[in-house]
Amino acid sequence: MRRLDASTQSYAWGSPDAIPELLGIEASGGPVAEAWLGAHPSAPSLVCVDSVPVALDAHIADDPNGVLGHDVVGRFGVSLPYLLKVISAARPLSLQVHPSIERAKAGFAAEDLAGVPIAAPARNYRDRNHKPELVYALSTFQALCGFRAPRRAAELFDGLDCLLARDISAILHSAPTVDGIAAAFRRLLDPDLRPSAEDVGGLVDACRARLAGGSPSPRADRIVDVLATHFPGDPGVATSLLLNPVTLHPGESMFVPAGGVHAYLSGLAIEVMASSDNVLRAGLTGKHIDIHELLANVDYIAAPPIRIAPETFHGSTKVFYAPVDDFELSVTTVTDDVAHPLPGRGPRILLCLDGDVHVESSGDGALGLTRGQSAFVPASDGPLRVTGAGTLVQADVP
Amino acid sequence: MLPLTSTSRRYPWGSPTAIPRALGMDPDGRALAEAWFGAHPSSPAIVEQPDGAVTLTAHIDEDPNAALGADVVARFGPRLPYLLKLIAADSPLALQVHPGTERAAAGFAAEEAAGIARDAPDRTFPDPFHKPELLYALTTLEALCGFRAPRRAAELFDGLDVPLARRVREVLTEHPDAGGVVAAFRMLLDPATRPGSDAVRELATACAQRLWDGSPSARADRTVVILGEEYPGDPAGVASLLLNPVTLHPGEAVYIPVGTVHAYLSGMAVEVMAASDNELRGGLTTKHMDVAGMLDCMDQVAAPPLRIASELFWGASRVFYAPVDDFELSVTTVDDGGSHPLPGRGPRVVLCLEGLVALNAVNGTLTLARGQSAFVDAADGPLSVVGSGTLVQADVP
Repeated sequence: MRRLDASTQSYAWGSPDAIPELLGIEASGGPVAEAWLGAHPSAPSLVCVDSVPVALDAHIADDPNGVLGHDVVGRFGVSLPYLLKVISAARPLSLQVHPSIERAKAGFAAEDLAGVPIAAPARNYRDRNHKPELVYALSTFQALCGFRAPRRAAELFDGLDCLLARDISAILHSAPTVDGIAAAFRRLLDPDLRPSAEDVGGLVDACRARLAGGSPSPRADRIVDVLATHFPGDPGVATSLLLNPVTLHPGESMFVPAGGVHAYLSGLAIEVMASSDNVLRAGLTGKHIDIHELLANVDYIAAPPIRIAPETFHGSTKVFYAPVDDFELSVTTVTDDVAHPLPGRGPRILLCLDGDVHVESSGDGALGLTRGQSAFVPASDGPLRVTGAGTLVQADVP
Repeated sequence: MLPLTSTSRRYPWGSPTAIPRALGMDPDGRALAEAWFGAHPSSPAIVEQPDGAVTLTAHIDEDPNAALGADVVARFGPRLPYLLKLIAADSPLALQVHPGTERAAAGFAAEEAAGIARDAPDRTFPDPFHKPELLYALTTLEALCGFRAPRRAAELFDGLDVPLARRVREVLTEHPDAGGVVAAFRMLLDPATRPGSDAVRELATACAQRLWDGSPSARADRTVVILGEEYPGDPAGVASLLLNPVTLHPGEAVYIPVGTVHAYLSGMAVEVMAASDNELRGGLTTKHMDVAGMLDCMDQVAAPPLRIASELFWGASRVFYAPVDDFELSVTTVDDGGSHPLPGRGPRVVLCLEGLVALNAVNGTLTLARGQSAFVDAADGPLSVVGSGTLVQADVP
């Protein structure tokens, strides 16, 4: 068991203070969007080995079977299958989709062949992995996720008096099915079909007027208003009306499958995902966008987001399972000095969210963690127990 | 709003008392496995129209746009897209997989072409639709759902010193990933490779012995023993060690996507699904089995079951969404005498689980006591509920 230091990402949408406050690091005044706890080669965390910081991927490569366990090596090769993040959005971030494994492999090979450097901003596929993800809200967390019921999307556009809305309404009424949703989505994003900034502006004005007049859909119109403030003229703003709005309260969780279109709007959350940095973006971002790739990766399913209920273990641990074998997430709260067993095994990453806890392995390893501190636990450490008073999140492999 | 009467399915695994009690009927001593509240042609519920009782299917056919709404007709055709059931298992039932849309359509077409009657016992695809389902537990409910993590499956077989366990272990060791679990499952069920009933009994005895000695996996061993008692010699009992055990407490829900191997073991639940009766069974049943068909359409993912959290509306309704567009389920509890809006619209099936409630629409009121149900036309518009009790509602997202 070793202390782990997150690597932070300063994307422009990040909040300057939420992650520094949680992790107890100094705020620089600039945005801190994400803190990565994992071994993804593009930003591995650091573990302390004999007082020397070592990148977690290098530490794993030194002794894969000891660190990951034979089972994980057999299934995933010499790599940590998941990536744990703290994410803090002060404002909306890209409309995006993550690829499936098949598409990621093909896309990665194609970009290698074309000679696009791995770290190039225009690179879509930075690894060969899929990226399903699970979000666990630490504050109220707002997002858009998946396509709305076609009927509901049509209602939202029906009430807007502008050219673009009439166009989308006509599409949705001529095919009030997921096909209509797909056609409307392409009409808004496809480079050959997408509306001008002026047309998007007309729709935004119509939403703002509806909002001022007492909208039947204030939440949807408010999202358009906020997105347009940050990304004026971006067709992604209009696309938001085709997507399900999601509000997660602290402690609630949502699963975003590969192929699921989504955009996070605001809030602080823990995110665990397959270890990948493959993101296909279509708008609402200053980063690289590749609309053709996004459209090729989207699953057109008009269905509600997947809210995950935890299973409770030992009265102290809630385990959130996703329907993938790369990761699971648990949240353990202890309030007394009785030792609570932590479920999960194999390679584990722990992050203390609150309080002061003491983690002990069945071997001789032990570590104290206070709010914001994290640890990496190798498979060879065996089962863990926790005492103290606080809350701990753990990522591990099912 | 029309009072609705469910139809009864008397499969032998059903509890003789649980559903009668929930529906306020007198138990007649016979097993009552499922009550269907829907319009599936093989067993449509009955609605009381002002001019007499008709099947829900006939009611919908009279005016699909009024009953379902133009939106649902455009998406699904003139049929109710979901089926709501009460299910009460006293003993384990069929290890099964439900097909996806493409497979169901192809299988249905093939059986139609072959001239197999839709209600023939050996018919696999009575309809051309997929059948994802969401289960909401009313009592503690035990089930098996999806393939286990490969490591965990290997551990379970490691401690069993019988030839069949060694055979399975070899497969799991050769492929230490999901592929190995799937291969072991195939080996156990495929008619060409499945073990004889003696080998299966021997393994069940080893599990019973391990349970007696103090098993590290008591739940898994107990399941093998119970399945061995109900279905002696059936290799599906051994295959249970390759599946995730799931215990739902009352009020918890699990979603079962198409392609996921599952079996219900015991308990009572509300089940909502796409309106289909397509099941591919591979064991633990006296019904028609299609093992090759089941193996062919199962998903090869080893991952935990999908437990669904509800979203709370207006402090009274919990809505359980599934990642499909055929259905959603809500559970509403009222007890303060105030009027609460019910979420959802379109064609709705409402079942009162507890207490006494009144449903109000612009065009009328209907009172439901425990066990009573109603079909609500899309044309009835939004509903509100008053009274004291709990009701479940199925509707279309």
